[in-house]
Amino acid sequence: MSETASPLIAVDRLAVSFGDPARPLAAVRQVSFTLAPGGTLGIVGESGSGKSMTARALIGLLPESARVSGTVAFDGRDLLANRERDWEAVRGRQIGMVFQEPMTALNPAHRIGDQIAEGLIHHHLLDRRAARAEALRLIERVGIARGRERIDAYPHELSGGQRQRVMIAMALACKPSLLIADEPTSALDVTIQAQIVELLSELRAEYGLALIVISHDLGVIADLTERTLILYGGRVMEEGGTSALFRAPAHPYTRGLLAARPGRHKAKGEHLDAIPGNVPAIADFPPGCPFFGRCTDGTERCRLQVPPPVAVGDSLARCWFPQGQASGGQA
Amino acid sequence: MTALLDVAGLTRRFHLAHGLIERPRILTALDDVSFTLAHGRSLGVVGGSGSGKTTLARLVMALDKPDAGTVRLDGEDLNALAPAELRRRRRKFQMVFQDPRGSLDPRMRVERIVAEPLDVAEPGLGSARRERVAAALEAVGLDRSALSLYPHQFSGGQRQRIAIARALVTAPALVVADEPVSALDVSVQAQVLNLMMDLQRERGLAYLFISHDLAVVEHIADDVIVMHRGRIVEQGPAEALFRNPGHPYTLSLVEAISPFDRMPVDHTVSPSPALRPRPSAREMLPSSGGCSYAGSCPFASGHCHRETPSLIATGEDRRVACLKPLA
Repeated sequence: MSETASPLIAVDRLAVSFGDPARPLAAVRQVSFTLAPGGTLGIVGESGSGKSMTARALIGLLPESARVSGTVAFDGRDLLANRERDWEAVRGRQIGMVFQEPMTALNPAHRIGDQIAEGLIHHHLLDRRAARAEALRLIERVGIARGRERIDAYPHELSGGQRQRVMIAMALACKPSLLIADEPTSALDVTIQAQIVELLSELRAEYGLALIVISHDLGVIADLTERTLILYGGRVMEEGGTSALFRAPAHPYTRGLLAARPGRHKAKGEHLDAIPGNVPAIADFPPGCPFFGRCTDGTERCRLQVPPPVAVGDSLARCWFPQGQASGGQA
Repeated sequence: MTALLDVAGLTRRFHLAHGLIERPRILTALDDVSFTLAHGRSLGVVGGSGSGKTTLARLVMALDKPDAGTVRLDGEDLNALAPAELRRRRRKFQMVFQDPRGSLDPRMRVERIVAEPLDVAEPGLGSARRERVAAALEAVGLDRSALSLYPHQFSGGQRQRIAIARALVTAPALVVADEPVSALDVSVQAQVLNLMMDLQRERGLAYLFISHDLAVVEHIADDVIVMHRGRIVEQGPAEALFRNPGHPYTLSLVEAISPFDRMPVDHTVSPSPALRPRPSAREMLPSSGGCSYAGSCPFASGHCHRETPSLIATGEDRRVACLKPLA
């Protein structure tokens, strides 16, 4: 069910690889998705899933050594054709970013008010004085108490939750049309996590933002997004409406992820339904489905051939045997 | 019957050096913490950063000395033991840390890593040492061929198995686990939790299980203590405490569990965003009198800012430190 209106961002067969071109290490393989203006998308994945490399490709922050192919059409332009100078007009201006650890993303030597105002001045949206007024408004909007005092604070004087609020204020300052949040709550205490999720959700509606949330935390994805992409081994395993996908997962990997969490349908102390094995190193994924080797339904065909997307309900699962139909039929 | 672990009045203060001019401030990281843990049981410890969870773990492990209070293991005060005695006693209590990457020395082979606690508690084992190490590895599902490998040759989940093998090698009665699965991939966490539950059943281990993940604690722990800024604000059986929180801070933690993996909360006050803690300007400031949670508590009155509530029994095995407990 891809967006019929012209999408804000359309990613087509994005691939990112590293190392010897003869034997490349593929971090992202043929990832495609679209997002309409104001839409929300969750990208779920574990280590090695390619979720962070996908995010970095969208904002031009891939390592120098990365080789990229495919297209990322944003507002009608292919971002992958950008040179560094072109990126500056996009990053922070049209696409805002929030990262996991605000302490590394904020400049420790600058006052938070100046850091929030900086983008507005840099992109010639406001003069210095108006930018400071807007910074104060944003500081208060993102829920930092005593904004007039806090505007001149340095990042280390704030708590982790407050720093994440500052990051969000910075990301929104230039009123971008897309916000990318990479593990926005993973470094925070649980009660603060809930506040940040709520704040992101409010601001998204208020600013009419499109939002891409990247996380290993299925709860955060469920709270913030309408559609979800499940990545494993650099490939899309399943995509669909978030609630439908979590309610009735078709791909064995999605089912495994959901079943492994305690608290949903397990009695206390009962064995959890663990996914066997470990996430392989990038070089060790099989040529076919990356989940082969850990999947209980895997066959020789799964090992060798990449499965095409199959519609199951409202979701698309890239699996030869979706919904556990190991005997061969497709749903 | 003597509890395996008996912690009484445990207090730890740190002096914060804060520039040349300012007076030194004192941070009370742990304030009058008391609880017991019986053989074969699991006690979950939950709370945010700065709640004192890790300080508590270090004190229970006798890696740090309290300013007041005692840690007794099988009735013996760990801080009253001579250093050589304490080293021998370490056989009985071991620890698993959050990040196996940081807690396993990358230059050592697995055999030496896992044997470390054994070398401290039971030196001079000779050829039996290797057998003990291999048995511990097998108990966590690793082959004895792992003995001669280095940590980087294993995945994150396997490294945490090695860390658990190291904790088991001395056949302890108590394992302190500080966020043992938080650094692991979701698909691997369940394996490690299953392993820990199996080992508990097979060996009668007791766990002091520290975690920020309430769904995990609810699944693993028999009893729970909830900590906030160094104090216990609530303690009780896990099921009752999660279903019917007595302290507003516990309620905020339970509320923060995403609906995605929340157990039904049976509570007179219906859960709503209004019950979430308020973003507080005082988030990280050491509190000066009054309830440490009052600044964020949606139910706080003026009274709460002045009077420090003590931990009071509210039901069978349940205690809450709140002037207006919810349950």
